[in-house]
Amino acid sequence: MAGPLSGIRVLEFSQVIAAPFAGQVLTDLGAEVLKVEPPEGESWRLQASFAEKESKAYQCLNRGKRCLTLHMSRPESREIVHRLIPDFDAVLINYRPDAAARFGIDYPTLSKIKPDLVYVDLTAFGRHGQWADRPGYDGAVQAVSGLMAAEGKTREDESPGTISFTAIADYGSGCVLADALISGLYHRERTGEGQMIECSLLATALNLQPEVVMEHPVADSERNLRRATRRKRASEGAPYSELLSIRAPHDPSDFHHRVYLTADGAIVVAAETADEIASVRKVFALGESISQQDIGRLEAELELRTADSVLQCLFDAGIPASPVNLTEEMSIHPQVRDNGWMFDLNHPATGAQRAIRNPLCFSASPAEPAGPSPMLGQDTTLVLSRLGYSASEIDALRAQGVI
Amino acid sequence: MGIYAGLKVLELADDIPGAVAGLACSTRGAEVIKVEPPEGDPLRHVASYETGESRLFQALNRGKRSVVIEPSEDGNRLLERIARDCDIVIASRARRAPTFAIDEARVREAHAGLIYVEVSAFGDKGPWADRYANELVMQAFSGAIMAERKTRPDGVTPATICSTRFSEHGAGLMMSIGIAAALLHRERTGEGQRVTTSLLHALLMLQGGRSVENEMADARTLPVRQALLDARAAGQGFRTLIRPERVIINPYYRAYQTRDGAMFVGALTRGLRDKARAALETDLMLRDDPDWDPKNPDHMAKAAEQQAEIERRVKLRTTAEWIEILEHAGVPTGEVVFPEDMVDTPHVRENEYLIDVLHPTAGKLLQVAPPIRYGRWPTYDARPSPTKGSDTAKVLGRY
Repeated sequence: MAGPLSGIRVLEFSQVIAAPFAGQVLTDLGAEVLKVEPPEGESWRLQASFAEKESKAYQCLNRGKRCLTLHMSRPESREIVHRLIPDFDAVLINYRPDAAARFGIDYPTLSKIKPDLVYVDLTAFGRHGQWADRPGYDGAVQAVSGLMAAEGKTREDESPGTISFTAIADYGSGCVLADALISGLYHRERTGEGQMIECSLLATALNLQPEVVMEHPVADSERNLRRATRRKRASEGAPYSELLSIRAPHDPSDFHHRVYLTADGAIVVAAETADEIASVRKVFALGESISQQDIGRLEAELELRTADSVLQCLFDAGIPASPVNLTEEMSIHPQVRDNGWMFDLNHPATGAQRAIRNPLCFSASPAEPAGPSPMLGQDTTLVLSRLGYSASEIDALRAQGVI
Repeated sequence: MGIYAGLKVLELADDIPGAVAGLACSTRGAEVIKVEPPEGDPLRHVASYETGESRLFQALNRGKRSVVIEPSEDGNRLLERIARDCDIVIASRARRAPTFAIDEARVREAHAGLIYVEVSAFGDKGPWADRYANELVMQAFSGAIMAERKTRPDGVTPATICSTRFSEHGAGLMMSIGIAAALLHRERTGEGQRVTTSLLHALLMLQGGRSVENEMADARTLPVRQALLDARAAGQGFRTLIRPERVIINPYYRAYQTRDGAMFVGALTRGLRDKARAALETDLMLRDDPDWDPKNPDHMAKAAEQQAEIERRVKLRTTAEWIEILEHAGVPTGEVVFPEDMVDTPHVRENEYLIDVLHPTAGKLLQVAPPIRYGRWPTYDARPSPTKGSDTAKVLGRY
């Protein structure tokens, strides 16, 4: 048995990041995932493509899947999905909120065909409330959830800057979707029951900052004061940057928890506990009260030393610290190489890749990553002929633009 | 009640990833026994508002039981007895040397169905395998800080990512996936197992295309990486290593200041960009024009001018007016909301994304609801985080 999800079949109606990432986690764990795409390809294939219908973003979110093209607004497509469904254990979908019902692939419809179906639905903002019908991507959810303001980046014109190291609401939601689907399968295994499971980018984004979003009658007095001041200034037309600094003024006493430049690269000092902070004071020869001049002197001194020598002093004193690396260098970093996290993959159209394994390692049901991302529609003929469509019927569907 | 009703979880982990994984179990109805040393779990002391109680601990430990045990060999043997009665053990060696450690093999001899989930910081092998890490260390090591391109007030030194602890949450979410998959496997085969993950591996995967290589797609960027690595090896300072900011003009996927706040325009595809152009009353085509060349300074200057014109125009109307215009045009959009304002955001309340939780000492808290809604359990019984040691006698009495 290879992988804890071996033998599980998932039908994926997906685009962009969240559901494709979830589906890739499922293939990593041994599931067989059939991705449905429009005949022209989903938008992430076409976004920043470097070859015909192929983009790096798509290729690293859809490894190991099979691909069926369907023009979903055509009745023939609905018929095909309805004939496919009995062979599948689960559906994963992140289309616009109204699309599933419009295409006849919503939970009430599909569960009539397959009562024990596990159906996992992702919307941007949730299925209730005033924004329920809004479509949305990661950036819009960063804005609405508070993550963007909490990060506090600004652009040149003082507009809010988007969090850019990754699409956090999307990737976080990909994890949540995979968890939802697998736990739904666990429940089905125990009871025979399927169900509809709802997730949203917004719910995920709130869960990534639960201690910030929560309201607390005892601990909130300072926060409430700041909030009142910020709202007053907002009503008076204060710029966004001022609102940010009212919310979270720059803390000049963050000497123990920040990036420093050294002679040959940047490092991070990451003391959190009282003991660790006291150790930083000792290592950096800082007294109890620290002036801006003290910090200036420290910064100048560290820029004359090598990163390795400063890090060694910090490690010797038990202080969490790290060099500041580039993500792009991690695939050849000794730590990554020694753990064997990267593996080589060959895409039939675009050639060599070094991909990253799933971060979960299972002792009893180890999984090996499946192959590369699918070419657009590569499995359409096979899937339809297994359903009983004849070669001439398949040709006709193709001629009509259904597949 | 919930999808994990009847399951028992022993949470030995004393950091955020372990707490997140344990929270997923407790919100799904499992009984989660959190073990704390006499001074309390370290998260109780992160920005605590009174001794032993913090927002962070209360947010990540809802519905768990708290058992205080003196760290010792005897304590570990006691924990092994408890583990033999549990379905899942959640452990961590990510943030510090484990305070409590059970001999997994010994427990497994008596209990083959045990699911043991452990997170490390840097994985099992390699020069960093025995080091510990917290969120900030992982942001730096994984490259996230450099990718975020935020700077301190000096404009050069990178700033840290502060909106969320994404590596710790990401690893916690991964552990939760591992638990679900191991439960499914056990249900199908009767077999338990050990599941491991690491903060670094999780955060690399969660950075998508940036952490992987693609020979054809990266043809231009791989030599740049090599040049940077060579420069660093030659001892060149950070100031000379950072790449000049590549100016990217994309007025269709970014936030704007409006007359009374800020809002986001989320047109990510060609079709949506056309709609956004109409709504924003601009003809700036950028890459949707076959003749567009971002390396041509004239093109860039003209585009920057047009973008500035959009910025000026957006400022003339209120957020509500823009949201209406963009929604009408079918362009994804949203207000820029501060996290402290969720409580007053009707949409969030209507979706029940915030729930009342009655805490024994703090009173009525408004906390974030779980991110997964199971159709079989439409309601969720929110229980508070435990006070330190509140269940010691009750739980230990059973063993």
